[in-house]
Amino acid sequence: MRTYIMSVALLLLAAPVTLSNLARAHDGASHHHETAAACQSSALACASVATAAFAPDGKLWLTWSAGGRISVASSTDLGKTFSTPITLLATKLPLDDGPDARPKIAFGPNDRVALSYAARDEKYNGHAFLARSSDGGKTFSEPQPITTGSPSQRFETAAFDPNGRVFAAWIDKRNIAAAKKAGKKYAGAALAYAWDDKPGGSLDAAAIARDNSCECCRIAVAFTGSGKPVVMFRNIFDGGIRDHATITFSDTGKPGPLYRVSDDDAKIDACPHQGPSLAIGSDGTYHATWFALGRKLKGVYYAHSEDGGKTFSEPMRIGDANAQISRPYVLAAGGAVYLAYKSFDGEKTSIELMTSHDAGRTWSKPRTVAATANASDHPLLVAHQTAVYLSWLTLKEGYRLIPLEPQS
Amino acid sequence: MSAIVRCVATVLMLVCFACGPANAEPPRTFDDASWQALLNSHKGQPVIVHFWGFSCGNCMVELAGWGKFARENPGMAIAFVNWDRHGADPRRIEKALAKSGLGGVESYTLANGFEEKLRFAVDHDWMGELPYTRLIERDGTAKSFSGTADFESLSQWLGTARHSQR
Repeated sequence: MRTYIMSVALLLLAAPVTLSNLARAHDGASHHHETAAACQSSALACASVATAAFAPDGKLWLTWSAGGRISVASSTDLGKTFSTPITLLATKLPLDDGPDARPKIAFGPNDRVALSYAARDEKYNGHAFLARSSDGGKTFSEPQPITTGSPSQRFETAAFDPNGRVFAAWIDKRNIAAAKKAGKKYAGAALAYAWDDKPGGSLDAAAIARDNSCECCRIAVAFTGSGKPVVMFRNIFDGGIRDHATITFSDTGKPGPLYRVSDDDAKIDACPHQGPSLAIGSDGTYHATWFALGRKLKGVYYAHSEDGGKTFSEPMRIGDANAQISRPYVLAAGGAVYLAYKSFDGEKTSIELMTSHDAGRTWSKPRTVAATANASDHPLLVAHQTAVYLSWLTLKEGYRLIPLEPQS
Repeated sequence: MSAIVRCVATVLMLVCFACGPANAEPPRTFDDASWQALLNSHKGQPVIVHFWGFSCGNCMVELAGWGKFARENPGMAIAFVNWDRHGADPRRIEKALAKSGLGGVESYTLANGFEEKLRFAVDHDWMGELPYTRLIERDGTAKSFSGTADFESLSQWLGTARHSQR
């Protein structure tokens, strides 16, 4: 009988595991899991995020994360076909797959290219890398950590100033670690930055532009006409208010004053996982769009600034109030401003587009430029000279580059 | 003999419940059918569904608070849904919950796929922020809050919801 009891006991102990395995086996039969199971390669077809940029010669470049690797390829026919991808060395840790994480690619003068991305550990501490090319993307250097002496860097963005120096900004946790050591409290993380020591050189040591930023949202970087970087990010204001702010860097490359974009009154100890988007028009107007999770404002908003970010217009609510609006993205090109966002009605996700011809003062009615009925990446806008495109990766349709016309 | 077997089995299950991380309830996959099934399985009683993630520092800090709240309110219907994209490791979920005193709790992990649709089904207004908690009364009336919990208010809500008319 003892054997019998032991058998029953073992069976009972094993039961949860068996059920769990059954549940997973069932899950494995679903369409999504089949797709995921079949998609272990680094091919674009297996990517969950993809970021596009145009090189100065008008070639489209795409970088994506798939099968645990970062790849990059170019297209001479606006995304219909791509060159054989270059796949970077695998990172020791898995790639950052958080909702706002993605690899990015930027082009500078003299065939210089910067490719940035991050891996992460189990606690979502990021490790950001920068890979460079000095031959227009034919070859890339071995990826280098974006900084040293920091336990976490996420939402890295690297871009070239007009002189060809890389400006990199990211969310950094070095000062949390220092505060912890000193037994002090520290809200959120910090906005960090670094510059190349010279055009075509390497990144100098990092500096902190601002302590106490939100730790889980992408940041936005744009350049003024004179080549000064502007960073928009979710700051933590006094009282734990997670509202958006901009910092415009000075001519000497140092962070200028912080200005609040909007009084959302987001007093919340939560990770919104939705960072802002920023564009600067040729007239110098800052165009900002963001997701608000505040007591005063909740939803997706747009505002513009005509005084270098010191003051912003009254925030304008974006999208159909009956749909779920998310992931707004703004771009200024050819005298127009383009604003795209996701609108989900419970069954399908549409990408809606609004345009403005008067620097964001008035806007066209939104129109649907693409849709999907399954999972999708964030919508991104890219431009080559005055031609503007929606860059969007969806599970069902794959990668699409869709030309956009501004509406009158 | 079957009574003895049942007795031994019960003892073993109780031991299993209390024996910590290794034997915590494995998370189920949260897919298209899960939300409605979860609601149906607790029909007629108030239920708290807490959405959390390893991607969210505040979630991890307050998990122990949820463990304490669960201990103080035995018998309440509560479920924990890990909402990390691309599926967190189920063993890590079990371990984190068990470490917070939530071993054996009803637990789910987000399925790969159409996250927006799964989230929309929970609440049209939920934008994916974490932590996020949905409170459902006996009659199905529901409300949500984003951010960390005020457990005193939550206890009050639970008390009122438990004593409300069926």
